[in-house]
Amino acid sequence: MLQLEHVEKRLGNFKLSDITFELPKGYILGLIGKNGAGKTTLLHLLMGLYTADAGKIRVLGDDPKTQEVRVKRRIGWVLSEDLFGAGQTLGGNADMYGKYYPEYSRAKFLEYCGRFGLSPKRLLGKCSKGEKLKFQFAFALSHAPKLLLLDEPTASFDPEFRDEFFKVITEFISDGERGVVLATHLTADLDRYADYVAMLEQGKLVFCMERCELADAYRIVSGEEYKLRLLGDKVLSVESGKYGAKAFVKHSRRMAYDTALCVSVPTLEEIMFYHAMWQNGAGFTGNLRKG
Amino acid sequence: MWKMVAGDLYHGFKPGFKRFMEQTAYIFPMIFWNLLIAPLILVSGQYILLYYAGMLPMMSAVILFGVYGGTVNKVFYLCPLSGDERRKYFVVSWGIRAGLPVFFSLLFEAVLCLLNRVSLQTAFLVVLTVAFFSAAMSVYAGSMNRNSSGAARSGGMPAGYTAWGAVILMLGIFAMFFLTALVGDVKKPRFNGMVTVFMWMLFFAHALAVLFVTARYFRRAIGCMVCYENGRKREL
Repeated sequence: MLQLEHVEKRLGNFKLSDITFELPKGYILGLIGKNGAGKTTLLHLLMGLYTADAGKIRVLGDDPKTQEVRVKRRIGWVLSEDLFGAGQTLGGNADMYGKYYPEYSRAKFLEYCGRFGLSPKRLLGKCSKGEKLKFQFAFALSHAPKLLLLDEPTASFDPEFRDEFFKVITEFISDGERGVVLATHLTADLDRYADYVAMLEQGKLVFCMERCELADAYRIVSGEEYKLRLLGDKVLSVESGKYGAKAFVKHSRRMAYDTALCVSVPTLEEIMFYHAMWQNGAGFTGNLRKG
Repeated sequence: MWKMVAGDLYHGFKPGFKRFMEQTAYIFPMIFWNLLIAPLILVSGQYILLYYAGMLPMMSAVILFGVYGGTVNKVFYLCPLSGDERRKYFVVSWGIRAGLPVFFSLLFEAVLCLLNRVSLQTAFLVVLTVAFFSAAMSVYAGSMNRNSSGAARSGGMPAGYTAWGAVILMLGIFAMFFLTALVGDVKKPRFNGMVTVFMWMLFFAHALAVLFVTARYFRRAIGCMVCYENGRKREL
């Protein structure tokens, strides 16, 4: 579905470097990282808006630059910015841009509008941010894409629709032939739905692995600091408090922990947070960060 | 492609016009245009028709520039169009935007010719001036900026673009003013001598400036239009 090999892209002072990962068909990839980590740039590369300076990109088996039309026909996108014409109705916008897609179906668009509680006769400019994103989502689904590229859509959705959103996405990939890339920093949803997780930090890929593999890769260990020190170089970052310390540890199945230590599986949010600390040198070898 | 572009221009007019009305900079040439003719109206009103038949299409070119200039929706780059299709889209869009003022000018001059208010030669020169003017103004309107919200920003084109726009605007206004309001009719000039010489000088200066600018920026405008990144690079 997606293949990236040593992809590099420079945009002004920002550089996306050495991005390598794959996403097989039928899965959801969660793209996480702080603001400015490079998530949107990476999505722009996948959409064919940017050309990579180096490396190889394959989207649905094709190069998004040389096979631009073929790739774009099979991609659905939702971007967290104001797209489409504000002076037109939702239906008008969908029809206007839908004509570029051979598979566009107005009936399908109307069906999703009904499902998402949108009126196709409403002016886009009068819609709230969340409604605009719902419209983009309905439009993306209306031309039967094989791959959905979603850039931070969930932040503007109400909790009720967020459930519906993930329900639709799960239905979308259920035939095993399609895929979803979802960039977000709301990691709680990815904890539930993502099959793969890729994390970007300052333009670099920190990891890209299966969610269950990721759950095995790290641990949060809390306890007395001297006991945490015994874990040695497995400790990536440490947060010291008044009554003990909390360490972010690279875990392996063979690792044994002192019974006095409290070990837990980190959430994606914790992984993001502690990775950032690690990058800033907050391990025992670096500057100890006071919590 | 014609149908597609025309549809996009049609749907883009209302929000574009709203944006245009918010930009006070465009009001100044409009005021200037009307102020130029004011003293002459007091002396003699016979050339007012000729003047406005030339100036209104020129104003429409500026309005079209204000309405469509500097923006293209990001969706355009996300949709499955090839570079060649986007190039065609730009050329057709330029053709429509440049062609509309010429059409208005042809219409007005034809009416004036039929009413025997102007000679064929002058009508031809007026239409030619409008054609030159709107051709250059529409290239500017093609300076597409990858702006998702559709708000007008100057991007995608080199800095000289704005300066040349002002030069063409002033040359165009004065060329048309001398041609219609002062000389009146090249076949039977209202004023001979230096006024007519100035008219020809302005006419050719305007034509040359337009040719230079069109040749210089047309390809660049296409380059910006075809590739999302080309337009964005200049913003960084």
